[in-house]
Amino acid sequence: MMNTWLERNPTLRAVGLFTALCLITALLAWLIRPLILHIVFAVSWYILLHPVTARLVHWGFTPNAAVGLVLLGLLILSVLSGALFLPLVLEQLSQLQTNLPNMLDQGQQWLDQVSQRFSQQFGLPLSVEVLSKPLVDWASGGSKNALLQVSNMALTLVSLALIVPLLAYFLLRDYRSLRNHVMQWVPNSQFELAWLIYYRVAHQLQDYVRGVLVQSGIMALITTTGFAFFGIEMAVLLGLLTGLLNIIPYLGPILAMIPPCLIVIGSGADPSLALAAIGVILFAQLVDNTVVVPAFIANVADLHPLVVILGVAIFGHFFGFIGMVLAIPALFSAKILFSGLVQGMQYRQNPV
Amino acid sequence: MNHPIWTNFFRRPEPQVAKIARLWGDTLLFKGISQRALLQLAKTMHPRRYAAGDTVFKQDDRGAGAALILSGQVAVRSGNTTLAELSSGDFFGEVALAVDERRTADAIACEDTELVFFLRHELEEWIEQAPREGAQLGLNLALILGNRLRKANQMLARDHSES
Repeated sequence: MMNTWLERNPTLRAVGLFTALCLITALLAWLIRPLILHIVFAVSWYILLHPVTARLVHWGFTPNAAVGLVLLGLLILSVLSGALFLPLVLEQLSQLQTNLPNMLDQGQQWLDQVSQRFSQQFGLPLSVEVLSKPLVDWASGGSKNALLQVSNMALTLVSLALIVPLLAYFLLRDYRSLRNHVMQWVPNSQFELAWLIYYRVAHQLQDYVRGVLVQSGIMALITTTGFAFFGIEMAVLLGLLTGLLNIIPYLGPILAMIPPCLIVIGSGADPSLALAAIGVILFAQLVDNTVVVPAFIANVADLHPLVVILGVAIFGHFFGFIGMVLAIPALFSAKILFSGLVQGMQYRQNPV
Repeated sequence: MNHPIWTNFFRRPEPQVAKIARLWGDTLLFKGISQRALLQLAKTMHPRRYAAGDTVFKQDDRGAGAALILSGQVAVRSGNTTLAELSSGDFFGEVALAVDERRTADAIACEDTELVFFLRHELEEWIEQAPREGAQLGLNLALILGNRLRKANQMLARDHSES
């Protein structure tokens, strides 16, 4: 009875299957959550490097040799770029650590001045402590636990450096075979539909990841140059951070404005430099929206802005920063999967 | 042991790959394509088993690619009319290699049948990697579809003159 009813309702069947697949994915994400960052990096490497290894295999290299060669090339490139930029970034990090208490004092003084002016202008008292206490608590707590945080960061970096290349190696060599074996479990009646949905999701994910990496690189380059031009301290560190935060849609660029303003105010520099820093980020956003997005990621994630903002907030709540980064690809993959399942099942039920 | 154990989990038995490559190599679709390329492609294809009476695909389903019969027999039907009965070495559904269109007929396994699917997206990836051989396969596909169109036109003309 139940089966007959389900057979007559293809949409309901699609909803059921979609829900089951979402639950399985959520369970898997929960199980592998300690390794989610490693997997995200390894998958990004796979997406970037697979076209190169496939070309090498086509030229006659064995899969092992092709993957080994590509990863060796990447390692050499990483060591060279690390040798060039890492000392600068480490120097700026150490500068940040040394100047943090002073910056906080300066920030507190600036907030006091703002409070006094606010009171004079509007005749209303503004409690500075309400604004500054969370920040001061966070920063002083942070500096107390600095050793622990640095140790944790070093541990994460070492585990990333060890596990990501290993995962990327096996993904590049075996992912397609594994995928084909998993797809063999799909029943004959849904075999072609499953492949069509898979390819749509895979292509959009590939385009999105490549586009976002290019976008972040360009944003980091523009903002680093802009911050250095205006003489803002730690330009490279702030530029890298802006590029990284730009991965989070809508919220990222706003969040990216906070660190340069804090650095400018905290370092006792002319507060108008904070406006210059915001100007640099807005200019980078202008370039991003008019040049980079249309060229690299337009139409990839065709989602309503409200869905994006809610998705980023919810994923961020459950999975932190990495959840915010994964929100968009997860949402558009779910959208393609759902529409593909509904269409496929309806056509089977009611052919054209 | 020729390969480390972890390389054997998903490895397809070589004789089957060779058989797939040989059968596709004998078709007009792969005329002029090198044996090395055929073997590489055969490794990426998807074997499926069907029991007698199973539907391979239905008219108006979205097609992902063409299927080659490794063993068994498949009937291609439109309504109650059987358009063709195909056996080992024959292939069908090749329109889906060219365009994302709906299937134009039903395909039903007449006996226990083993098929191997060659998907359009894999063909597209292969064309990116090997444009020259990809162009040759594109020409072969155009020739096959052109022949089919000519036959359909002849049938239509014959039906028209009879009526």
